Amino acid sequence: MRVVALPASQEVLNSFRAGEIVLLSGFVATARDAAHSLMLETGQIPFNITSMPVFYTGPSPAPPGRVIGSCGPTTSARMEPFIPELLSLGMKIVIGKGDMSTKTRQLFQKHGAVYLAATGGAGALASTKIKSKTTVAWEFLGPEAVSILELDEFPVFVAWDLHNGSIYQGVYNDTE
Amino acid sequence: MRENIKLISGEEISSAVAGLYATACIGPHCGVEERLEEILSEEGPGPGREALRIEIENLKIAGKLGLPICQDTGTAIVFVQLGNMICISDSSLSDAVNEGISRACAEAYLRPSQVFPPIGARKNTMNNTPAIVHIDHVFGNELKLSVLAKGAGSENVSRSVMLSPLAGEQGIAEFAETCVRAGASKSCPPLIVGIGVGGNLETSAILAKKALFRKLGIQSDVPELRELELRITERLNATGLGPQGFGGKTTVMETRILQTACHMASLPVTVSIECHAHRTASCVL
Repeated sequence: MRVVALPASQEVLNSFRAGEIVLLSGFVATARDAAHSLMLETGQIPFNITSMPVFYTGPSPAPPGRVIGSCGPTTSARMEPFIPELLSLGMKIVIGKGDMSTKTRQLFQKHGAVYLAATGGAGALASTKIKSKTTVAWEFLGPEAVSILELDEFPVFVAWDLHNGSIYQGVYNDTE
Repeated sequence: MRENIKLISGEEISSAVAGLYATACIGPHCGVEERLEEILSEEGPGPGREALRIEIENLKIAGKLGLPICQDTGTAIVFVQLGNMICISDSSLSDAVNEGISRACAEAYLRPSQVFPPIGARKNTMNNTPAIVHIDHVFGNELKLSVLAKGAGSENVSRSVMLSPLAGEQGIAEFAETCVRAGASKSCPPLIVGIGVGGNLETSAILAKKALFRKLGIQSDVPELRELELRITERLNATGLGPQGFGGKTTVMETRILQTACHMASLPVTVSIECHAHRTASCVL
């Protein structure tokens, strides 16, 4: 398993292969449904979208003495309506779970972006791979607020690579 | 007769529910880890197998650190078997249950995920209430509480359908496969598939949910349903979707079917999908 420092160069993203596990170290931004809706409504993106992966998660509260609570991925397909605009603004890495449509996959390819899957339901393990958390926007959203997380060898699977490879080969039913 | 009546306070119920909900979310769990270990031993190499390893390690870490297994500590679903000789002295049952959920959310650092109103503002209630409470009235002087922390990833891919009455086993199995194919990668397999058959729209859904409370490894006590459960599990695993939808032998740990009578013109079916973490706990007061 290789460790990938963030931000990752295009060359590194090109080297990813679907099904491979990579360990991410560096900064990512959390955003899920409500934050995406606010980002597009206000035109304000409270983090550097070209250098930071967007991690679809809403962590549980941090118990005393811990940086963050449980912090696994949420279902990516719900964020699909927001993806085209964010890709055009330079988003290069998405971390989430579950397959998305072929149309979205083609857009990722076009923009040289990769989709990484964290293990769904494994939020306690994920929590131990996070060194810091800073909330940067919309704190009133509670677990849906936007935070910057510093990852330390955080395990993810390459779900969609830039060579037409998908870990979900034949899973997604586009007619659904 | 009167001396058989058992008084239970709202506080006893709240305190029990708070403990059950926190245990369901954090662990320890009866049997899930062992079952995943068995599945791992049969799984071939590949990302599905690696995902299973992570799922198992996560269960251990959650217990060790007292962290929720999954950040989505779910909607709290509480099934209550309420004996006819139980008298709750100073609270309504649902108020007592909600007080317990709210307490666990604060004290065990569980995530508040309920929003209201569902259309428009969708403001977080910040204590994960309201819980969803189902009550069965039974004979006796016991009150049984069963709690399921049900995440949205698996709930969102659950479905109901009104099949043609003669669609039968084939129709039910096909519908289950449609749900699992469309939803597996979003619902964190290996899954438990609860199927409610009969009644009407809402009873089939409640039966499917209730099926998720059956203990792991216990098959239906109806011989025909036991056979059907095994056939459906086999069919769903033949999809090869695998752990996390990354490919593999085991997409589904178990299928569980509950049935009831229905109108001669109907065959209501609900498929309730449950993730691998399967967070349940129960007790009797």
